[in-house]
Amino acid sequence: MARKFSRWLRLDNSAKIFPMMANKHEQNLFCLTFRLYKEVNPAALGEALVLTIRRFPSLNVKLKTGVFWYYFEEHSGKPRVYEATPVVMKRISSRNCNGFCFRISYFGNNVYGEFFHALTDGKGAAEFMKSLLFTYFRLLDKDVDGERMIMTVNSPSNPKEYEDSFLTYYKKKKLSELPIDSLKGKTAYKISGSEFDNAGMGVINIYARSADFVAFCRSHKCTVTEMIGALFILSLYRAKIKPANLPPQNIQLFVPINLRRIFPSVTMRNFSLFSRIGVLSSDEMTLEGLLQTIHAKLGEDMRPEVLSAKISTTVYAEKFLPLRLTPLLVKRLLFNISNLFFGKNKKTATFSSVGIMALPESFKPLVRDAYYSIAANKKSPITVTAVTVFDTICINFTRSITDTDTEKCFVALLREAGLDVTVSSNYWEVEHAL
Amino acid sequence: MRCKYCGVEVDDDSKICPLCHELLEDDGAPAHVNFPPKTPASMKRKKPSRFSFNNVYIVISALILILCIPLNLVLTPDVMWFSIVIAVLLYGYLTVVNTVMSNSSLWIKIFCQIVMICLILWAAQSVLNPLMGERNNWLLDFALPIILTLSVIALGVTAASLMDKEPSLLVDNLLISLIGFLPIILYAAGAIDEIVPTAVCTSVCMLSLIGFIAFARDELWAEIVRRFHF
Repeated sequence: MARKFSRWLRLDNSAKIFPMMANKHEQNLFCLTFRLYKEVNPAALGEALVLTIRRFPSLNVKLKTGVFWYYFEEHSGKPRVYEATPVVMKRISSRNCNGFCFRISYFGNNVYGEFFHALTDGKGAAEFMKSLLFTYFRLLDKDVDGERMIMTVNSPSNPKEYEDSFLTYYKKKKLSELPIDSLKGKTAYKISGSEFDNAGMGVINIYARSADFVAFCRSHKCTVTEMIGALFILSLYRAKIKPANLPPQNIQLFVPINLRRIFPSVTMRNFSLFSRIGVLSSDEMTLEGLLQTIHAKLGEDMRPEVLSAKISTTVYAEKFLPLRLTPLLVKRLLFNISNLFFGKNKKTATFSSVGIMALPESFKPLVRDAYYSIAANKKSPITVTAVTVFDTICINFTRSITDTDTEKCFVALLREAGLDVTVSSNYWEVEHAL
Repeated sequence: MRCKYCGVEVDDDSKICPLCHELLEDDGAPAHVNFPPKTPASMKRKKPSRFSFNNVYIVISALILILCIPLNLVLTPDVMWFSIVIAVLLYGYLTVVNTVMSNSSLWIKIFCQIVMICLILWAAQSVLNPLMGERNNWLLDFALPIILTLSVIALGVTAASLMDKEPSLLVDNLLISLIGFLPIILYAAGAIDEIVPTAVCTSVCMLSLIGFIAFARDELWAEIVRRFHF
């Protein structure tokens, strides 16, 4: 009998850092939640998960520790679905997720997919979740059609889906030619507030009609991403900086850029880089001014030659021989020590605008909407995401601090613009739910 | 439900606004339960409890030592057997922290266990040798080869039976088998006098290595490549 070889994968370029950064309290997790119209059937969802995971070999893995780097090894077990806990993005460990680096859970009408960032990025997670829902609906005998938007269980798996696209688009350059200076940055304003004293995070979702929101953006001649970024900076200023009478603060937003839009790739693994939008807070800050700043910065950072140089820089670091030959234990130690003593906070918050999530029309009677959330942490206590599903835009605020002032200001700005918004929350800041 | 202060619709099964925390007005719109309800367990504090394993273990260990050290010094001042107690307590702590609660590879756990057991036995040998008179170096002569032999056999059997599911055990077995040659090196250096346990240990390690190279060469090589990739 031929013995089955266990396959393995190197971590992709940007994933390499995530397991090193992870500790008992913080882990780079993000969650994609689908709100359905009907209550989730756990048995069917579990069955769909087992079927779907076969189509996504890069997710059917467990994280292993090598001598020099972490790596993924094919998982021989089956994933299962869990009943969602009130703690959003609870730490994923080999013990609580059977060795998988993701967790699929359900509660009421909601299906949650929580992912460790080393495994995939938002795009990869969305493809997996869409496929999972498609299989789930099929198992429930719902009349759904993939409409060429879904990687169905029976579609052939393409090896390019688990390639490291950073390496594909890497151009060998000399150190002097790389934009090393772009990695440096000033110390960013840290959002103040009292931290939750438990493991949970506060979540507030803001829903609006996408047509109304797009019309609002058009009236300012900007994109949805630019608008939400500008409104968020303005809210931070009004909610946190101005009331505290702080001197001008360096607000730094980290905005992930999906590189697949610029460099064609079908990879299911991480393929994104960050653009750093910096604004110095002041009383003269206006929405128009912020929109111009963000437009100019994103425009500059999304130029293919700039991104290509950034890809080359990050891959250069990975290929640097002394670093490669340093044992993982030492790498971790050096990383944590340098972070502890020299690591300044270069990020005020993360804001990720996913854009439109394309779902088949046949999903419309079944899926209400969806939203992304990114785990907040001590250094960056608020994260914001935005995604449009069908005709609803969902802006998610996830925070590790108790007050909701920033969200309140953000909603006030939307209301000033004449938008009708609906909000929902997990009320994590309220001691006793009413 | 609607918040008249924030001017928003609230799509939750709640009576208060998530933004301003004022009471909501019922406008007849259907409410949804969007998040699992909070439970006392989910609100558990981040800070470790006073009764954590570390704290409880330190208190119990301190009590045992407070009892043992005076007893030892009063009853048998010539034999410092409390050093064995210290070694056992240390072993218990490290076993829980390094073996039970740790995510380290199996070979590191086994290696640490071997080192810790040897330390206990060394403490025991240091205490008991003066009592036994002329003899002896039984830690290196007998204990170390026997412990290594048993470790290699246990890990070898586990690795062989779980080769398909857990190929990482192959490298764990390889590394422990290589450590198993320590007694023969010590024998060659003159630190060990007894040849039989050393010979048995060396034979078992060689058998294990030859067996895995003969029957699982490809799997072993694949595992080495992935474990040592750089």
